Amino acid sequence: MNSMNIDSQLPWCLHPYFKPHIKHWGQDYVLFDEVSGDTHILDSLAGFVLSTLMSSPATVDALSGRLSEDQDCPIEELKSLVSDVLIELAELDFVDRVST
Amino acid sequence: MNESRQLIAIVVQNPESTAEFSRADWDLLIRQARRANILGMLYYFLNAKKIKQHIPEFAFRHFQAQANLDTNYRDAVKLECQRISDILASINLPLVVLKGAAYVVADLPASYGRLFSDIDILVPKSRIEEVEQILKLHGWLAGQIDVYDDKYYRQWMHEIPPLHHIKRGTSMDVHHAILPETARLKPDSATLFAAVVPVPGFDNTCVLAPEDMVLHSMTHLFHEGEFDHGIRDLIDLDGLLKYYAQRDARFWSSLMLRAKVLDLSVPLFYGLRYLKRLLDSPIPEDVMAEAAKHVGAGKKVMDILFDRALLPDHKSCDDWFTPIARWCLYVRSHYLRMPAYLLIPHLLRKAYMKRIEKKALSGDEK
Amino acid sequence: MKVADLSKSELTRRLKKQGLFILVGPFSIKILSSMSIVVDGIAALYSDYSLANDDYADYHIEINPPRSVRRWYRPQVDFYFDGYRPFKPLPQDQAFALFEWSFNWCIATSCHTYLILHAAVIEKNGRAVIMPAPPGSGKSTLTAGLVSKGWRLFSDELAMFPLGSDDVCALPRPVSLKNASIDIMRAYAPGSVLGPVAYDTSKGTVAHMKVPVESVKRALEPATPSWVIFPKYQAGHEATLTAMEPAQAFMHLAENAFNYQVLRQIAFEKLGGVIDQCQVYQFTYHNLDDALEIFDGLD
Repeated sequence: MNSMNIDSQLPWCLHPYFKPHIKHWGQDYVLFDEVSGDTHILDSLAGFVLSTLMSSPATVDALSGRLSEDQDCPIEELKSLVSDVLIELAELDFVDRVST
Repeated sequence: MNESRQLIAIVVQNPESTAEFSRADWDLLIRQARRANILGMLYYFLNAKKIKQHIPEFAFRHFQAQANLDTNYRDAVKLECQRISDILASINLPLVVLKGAAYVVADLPASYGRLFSDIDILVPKSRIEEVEQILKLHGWLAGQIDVYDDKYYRQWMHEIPPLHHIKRGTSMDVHHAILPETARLKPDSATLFAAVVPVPGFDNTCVLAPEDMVLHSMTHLFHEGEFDHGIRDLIDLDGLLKYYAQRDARFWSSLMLRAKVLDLSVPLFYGLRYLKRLLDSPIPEDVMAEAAKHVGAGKKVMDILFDRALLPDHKSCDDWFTPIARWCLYVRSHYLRMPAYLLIPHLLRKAYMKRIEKKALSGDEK
Repeated sequence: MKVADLSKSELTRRLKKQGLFILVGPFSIKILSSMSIVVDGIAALYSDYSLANDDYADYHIEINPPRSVRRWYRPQVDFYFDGYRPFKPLPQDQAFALFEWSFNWCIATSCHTYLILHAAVIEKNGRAVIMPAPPGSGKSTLTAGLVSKGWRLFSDELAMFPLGSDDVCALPRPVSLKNASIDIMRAYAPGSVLGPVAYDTSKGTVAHMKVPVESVKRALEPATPSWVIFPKYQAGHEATLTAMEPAQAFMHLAENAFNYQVLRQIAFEKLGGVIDQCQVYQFTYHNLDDALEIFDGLD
């Protein structure tokens, strides 16, 4: 799976077996998963994506749109970065596509 | 029974009376409860505002401390059960949860104040290999054990060896019966399955019927060899009985009937007897009398053994006979599980393993 | 009444028979021991601690030889926690060190109304410095040094954060010193009192430094966590404070916590709160005087 194939309009959500608590200081995030009992340190992009999904599911488009408000970066590049992060987070079973 | 053994019973049956406890009473109670691993459980008896206001803070914090550990696991247990239930659904089996995990998913009072250890499930014997396979596919593997113990588990006891999840580290015990094949009592699993009750809020998940849950707990307690959890299991039982009896006036009689059907009248008798003797549980007289009818004359002797073994493993609860009592019951539980010709080699082997361990340890110290 | 008010023979008698009951920070403990090395250690290092009533103790600790041949042959000592032995025995000359380690064990494994970090804590003007550090970082020497020059000792091993408040609490106990630190402290603070020395322990040579009386007297006064400082002793290195990323500090603290794994999300929230309250630094130094200057200048 690579980011080129992700439909940027499909919504993503937190994985059903993932129950995170998040804290951040500036650009750094730490996360505790109630289900596994694991603690993680995350970069700002992963932290932002997970924090957003904690409130509600979102698409790549929506996530990139939010980011573009603060980041001086072309939207296409943001979408690619967001997609990459989602793939990584999916591999960890942190996020999942919303099932239709 | 001297008074120091009754502090726990007071907390369970009459927590308002803890207002009368002296500092020495609190000192002893905390030490007994710590050894019996029930500090967390007792918190839930003491936490009501009316009761808590009379408990000195220096004592209360010990119960609070252990209870702080328990609250953190409930959701994790529920999610783990959900996962297992999804796996079993793929082979058209319901998840039947037993013991501690069952109390959590069914949100029973007995679920509070316990730490998360294993998840116990019940599957039909005919499908046990299939279950082992599908669980393996999802990361549940048997731990490292030798061939003899593997055989002990599969053939003589009622379990596949304990499984551990390769990523999450959670432990699961898969049972196909609640007692081993070689035991003298034969409670029929199909009968248990026929009566299981779905758990609201969960898919494809059931627990044993109330009477069966109680009987299982009693059987588990009185057949097992180790009594580390003796008083804890009694407190669970006390809670379950109160909970179910309150909801259904016919619960006692259906419990009695069910015990007959499942051939578990003897553990029922012992369960009720020791609940009354050690925890002062409010069991109706006629129920006690009825239960006694189904048991032979050996009950006096068992008192001498069980009275001691079920209490916390703390010197305030011991007398000179206690270590012997514990040993006798260890042997008895194996006798109940296995015919004599199988029993001796197994015990010898366990003793041999212990000596090897001890030798290895003392080798370190030289 | 304090331990110092007891005669040596009375102290010995209580420790041997019905137990010595003392208050240590927010806890009362009962100590039972018939070993002279333990009696001496308590007489030297716990003299300023108050006696407690003998009808209740939070922890019952017994330090005695095993009830076996190892009582005499290559003599050993055991720690009994209320009749139960969590550890393997140690050689008898380490009995006092075993007492201190056992006490740490009791607190670390059961006080879950606190988040407990493996760190030293010192205080001045109501504000506390938390110093987590793995063995070999010089944390104990640094702690002992600062405490001998006016900082109040909260603990050299156990940072106690009560779950219901934003404070850090004191549990002042003798500071454990290892190997070279023992001589360093003898030179740096010649007035300090040292307890029995144990040789050949798993940590090398170990001795304990007595807590200044002020720290014992004020043990029930909490403080606000204000700095988290990770110390590292490095020969020839000028004393330097370097700011650290909070998230990194969080992870290091979580790894250095005794009950983070069991308190789980409660610990996560609590630890996050501690980081919120504190400035976080790495600290490298090689000289106690320089260290003192930096710490006294913290703001």
